[in-house]
Amino acid sequence: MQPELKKKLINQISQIMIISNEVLAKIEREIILLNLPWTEAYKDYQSSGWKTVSLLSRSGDARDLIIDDGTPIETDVLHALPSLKKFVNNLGLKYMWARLARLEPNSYLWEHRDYTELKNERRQRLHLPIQTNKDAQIILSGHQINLGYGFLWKLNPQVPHGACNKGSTARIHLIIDCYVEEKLENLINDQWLDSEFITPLPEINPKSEDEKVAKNLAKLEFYQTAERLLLKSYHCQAQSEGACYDKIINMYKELGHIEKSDIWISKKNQFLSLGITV
Amino acid sequence: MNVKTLNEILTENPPIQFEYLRKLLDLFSQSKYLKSAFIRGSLARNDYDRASDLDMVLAVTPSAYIELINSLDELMSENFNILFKGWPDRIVPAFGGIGFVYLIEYDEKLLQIDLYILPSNRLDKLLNTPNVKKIYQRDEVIDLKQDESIEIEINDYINKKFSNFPSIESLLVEAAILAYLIKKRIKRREEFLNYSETILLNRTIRDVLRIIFDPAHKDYGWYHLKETLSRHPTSSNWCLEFEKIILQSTIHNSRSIVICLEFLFNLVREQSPEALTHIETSFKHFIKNLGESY
Repeated sequence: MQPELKKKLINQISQIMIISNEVLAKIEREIILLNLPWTEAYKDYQSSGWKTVSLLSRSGDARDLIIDDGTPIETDVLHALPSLKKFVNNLGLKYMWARLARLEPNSYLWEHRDYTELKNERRQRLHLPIQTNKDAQIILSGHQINLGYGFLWKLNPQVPHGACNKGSTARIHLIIDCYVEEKLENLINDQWLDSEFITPLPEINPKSEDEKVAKNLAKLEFYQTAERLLLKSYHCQAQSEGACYDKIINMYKELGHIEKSDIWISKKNQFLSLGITV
Repeated sequence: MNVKTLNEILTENPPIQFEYLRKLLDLFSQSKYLKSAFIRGSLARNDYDRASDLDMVLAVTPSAYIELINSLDELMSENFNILFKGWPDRIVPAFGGIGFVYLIEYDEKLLQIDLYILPSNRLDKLLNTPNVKKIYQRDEVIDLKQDESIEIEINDYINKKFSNFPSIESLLVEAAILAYLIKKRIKRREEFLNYSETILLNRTIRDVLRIIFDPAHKDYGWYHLKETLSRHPTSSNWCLEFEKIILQSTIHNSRSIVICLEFLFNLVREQSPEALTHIETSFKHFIKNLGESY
């Protein structure tokens, strides 16, 4: 990989700490044994199949899932997971929010930016894979990144990114949103990114019939299926920011569905925080 | 203590076939071109069990018929965890449309879905068949006018679907479906149906051998098959293996059906690997699960 590209990627996503299998195994066992109140939030941003439960939230309620600034309060779920609680406490960072996130097989988070509705402060998002598989990916900058087991990962969620799980088992991550302070900065200073976890997405195939297929589906009024087909192109091909949304917008324009086209212009604006009015 | 009634428990835990029936109906009823939907088979007769397949008939506006069939695989793959593309069903009775068989994976199990797509102006034969139940009707008058040009187009389309000799990939899917059916017969001890479907599976494997080693005569069936394949060492070896499989038993058991499918997979992988391009992972996964109980 070219050094410039690697440098760009490391700024967006990187490994910042090695975590022992023993610690992870204890955390995983606790989670499996507990009947967690998994809840689907941010429904517009996903295909369905992405659920979270808060460990540290503003209200202290585990079902409080819309992340926000503030000093978070421990929820009863974190209290019931002593190994995970110990891990979070030992990290000793300045937390904004912490949650467990479960991405089911064949589930997708569409291309989006995070933190856009929050005040302007330096933050980073950390991911700890607790259960994963090689086909669970974060997508950004035209690459698939498999967040490998045994590491604490840093993700800058203000760059456009998505996620998918094309494997056959659920992916469970601890996700912590942190304010940047000295301790986190020191971890980030030593960040690295192993090439084994990076796969460039293929360039757009000019012979791809996805847009034609999607248009046919939309003509038959299977709008959701058509939209999902085009949204997933982000996870399969290297393309410019928002291109998958443009495909949907253009599809509806060609079919004369101006209202639907406008809805997707708004969604693109919202998901990517573009500040464009319809 | 909150004691649930039996009805509540049944509502929360419907038989899997009905859960998927609901999902399929929710999907297809999004389109105004779906006019009505029916169930047939064991679900309609109410003598289904855990292994029963889901037999559903969709009556669609004739003008959208071909487009819907062409989009069917995409619709099913985007909304369900299907193992393979739809296999055009040659076993289902002819009602005037086309049937497709899908295997859907859920919780490491498989459910067979038989989807029959019919133009909405050809319901007569279906409605005269016993044990067919309507489960959906779009609230508008069904237009039974026959547009001759559309009728001709649909007939040509259906004929073409079954007139072309299937590809190796398509035959592999056919073999998987038949193996799944045979596995069901084994569990239910339905020896006659096992026998019938074993013959069909043998025929499918025969056709793969023909396409690979004797493409000029791929539609010659069993005629001179052994003599033709015995001419060369490679094809001769495969022919001998196939002969052993056929002669071993007239019906399959749990072990022999896996051996049979492994034979087919190995044959294609060695002699025509490009046919596995899109389905190798699914096929291997299917064989692995075939060896385990559903």
